[in-house]
Amino acid sequence: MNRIPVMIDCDPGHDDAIALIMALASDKLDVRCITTVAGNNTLENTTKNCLKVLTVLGKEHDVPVAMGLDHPMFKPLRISKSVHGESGMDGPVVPDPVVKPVDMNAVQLMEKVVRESEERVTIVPIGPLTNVGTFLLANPDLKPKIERICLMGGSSLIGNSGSATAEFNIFQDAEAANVVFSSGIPIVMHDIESTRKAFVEEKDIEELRGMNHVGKFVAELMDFFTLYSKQHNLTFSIHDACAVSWLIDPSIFISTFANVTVDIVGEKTYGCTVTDFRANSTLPKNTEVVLNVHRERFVQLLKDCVKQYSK
Amino acid sequence: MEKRPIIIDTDPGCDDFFAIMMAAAYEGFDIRAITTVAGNAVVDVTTRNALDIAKLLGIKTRIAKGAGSAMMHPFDEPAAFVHGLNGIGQVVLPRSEQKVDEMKAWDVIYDEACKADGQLELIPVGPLTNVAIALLKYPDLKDKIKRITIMGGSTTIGNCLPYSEANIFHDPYAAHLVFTSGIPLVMAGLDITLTALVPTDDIMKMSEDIKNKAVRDTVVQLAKIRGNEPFHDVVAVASVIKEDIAEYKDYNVEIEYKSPLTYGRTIVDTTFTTGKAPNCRVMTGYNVEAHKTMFADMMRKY
Repeated sequence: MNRIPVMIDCDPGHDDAIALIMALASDKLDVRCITTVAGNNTLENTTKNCLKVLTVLGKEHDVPVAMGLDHPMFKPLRISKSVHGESGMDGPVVPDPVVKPVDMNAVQLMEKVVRESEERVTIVPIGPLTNVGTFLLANPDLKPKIERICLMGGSSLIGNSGSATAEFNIFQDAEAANVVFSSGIPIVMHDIESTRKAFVEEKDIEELRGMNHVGKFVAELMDFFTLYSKQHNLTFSIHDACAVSWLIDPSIFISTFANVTVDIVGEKTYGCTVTDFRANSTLPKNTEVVLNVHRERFVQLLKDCVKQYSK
Repeated sequence: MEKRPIIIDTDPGCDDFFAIMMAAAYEGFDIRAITTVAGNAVVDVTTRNALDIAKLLGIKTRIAKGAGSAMMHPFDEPAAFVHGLNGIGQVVLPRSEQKVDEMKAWDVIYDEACKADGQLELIPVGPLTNVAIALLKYPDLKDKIKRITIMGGSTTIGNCLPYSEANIFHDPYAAHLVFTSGIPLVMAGLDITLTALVPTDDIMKMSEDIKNKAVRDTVVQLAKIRGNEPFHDVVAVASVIKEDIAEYKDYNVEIEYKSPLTYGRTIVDTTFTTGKAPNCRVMTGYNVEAHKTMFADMMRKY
């Protein structure tokens, strides 16, 4: 079977790191490039964290990494250190990476990958959509070469990060998200309500810890990442890993098709991915909205992916 | 038993008819006034309907006319496809000779609130314009109202927009004033009222218990026109009569009134993300069987 060509746009980030680990382990996916964006932390830090992850995996020379945009389209970057810590990926102690990003920016690298690809490419954005939105604005001609955009972000009914209606990734750059959702490209939306259902338990973390060096890295990421969850009485969810998992095995998820439009003007609903669940809705169903996760199968897939690194 | 003073603020409306009917059938209520607002039809029509409904059901109370449009924009086209051009599916009611109260809706609300010594409850089942104007005109009103039980808003799905329900959508500015007033609020949202279906066949059967022929004819006609759609407004009244018919949770609720995509959304912070204090008791579940029983009992009162 042909592997699915994917470009991952990320802002590592603990759950971004685990998403990368899964994507690079799976024989279903062909990761053509990784681009970084400001979101969970500054662009400098998310890029450094991304290269750290690749180095831990021993894949730092296998996939090109390019730095993207360092702030949202229409406002300065505002980061919160409460979830991911000072570095954006606190917890595991990893030496600074030796490898450098490529000498192109994120949008240029995405253009190169898409132009050179014979098949249509899938974009997997798991941070704010600034890079992807810019890529689409700059390359309307390349839209037909995008298979779909499978993203972590959005909020059909609940929010997070202090907004009752918006999720962090979209809230960070709703204007960019608006470009993505109105692009006409098929979208799979792993919104915050569904990704909260993709969680591990303590025993899973311990099993991963004993598996191999990558499992130990994942466990150390979770040791830090779960501090926030514990404080706020949340599940140990690995949000970003959902977008990657869906591409490896969509049957792990339950979804429905609906129109999603991003609110960029609301006083209280800025950044809400307005999802039209009305039965009589006549708006185009531009998005596959994930509603639920077969959690145990999700956790098993994570373990299977980590096991690949024992070889 | 001392009767509980209430005012129904309404835009009749098919389901408003049944809401008024249920309130009037309950001996525990002292209906101090019915105030009217534009919504299901223009305000002159909803007022006419209120007068005629009161006559038909034998309700003796003040009927006061309120706002003809939302606070910040002219009156939209009435929801004629839902309620018929006269607001009640073209059903013709016997004409009442009663005159509309000399005071406006908001003045009547304040007047009755003062008389009721803190015991007055409001049951608005249309857009919240009248209540909002009363709150603006009389800043001390908020301390004189015991509770407001609203049919409107939604925790999940809307009807006018993906999340926006009609009553709030028609005047979100007014809703904002009501939801920030500090008055104890109960919200019977669309997501809950959609579950409160009494099938038309059941209503037909129940209506056989109505002795008053004119009332029976009206009930039958309205039920037929409406088809198997829930009578949303009745849920608010039923929950004031029988509080344990529903489940509730206290949440912070805010109204969006800037965005065209979410205009009139009641943002219910179900995950306590904002850290803002609860300002509303939100209906989260409803006992439909008990609702049907109340419906049947109501018919027997006429």
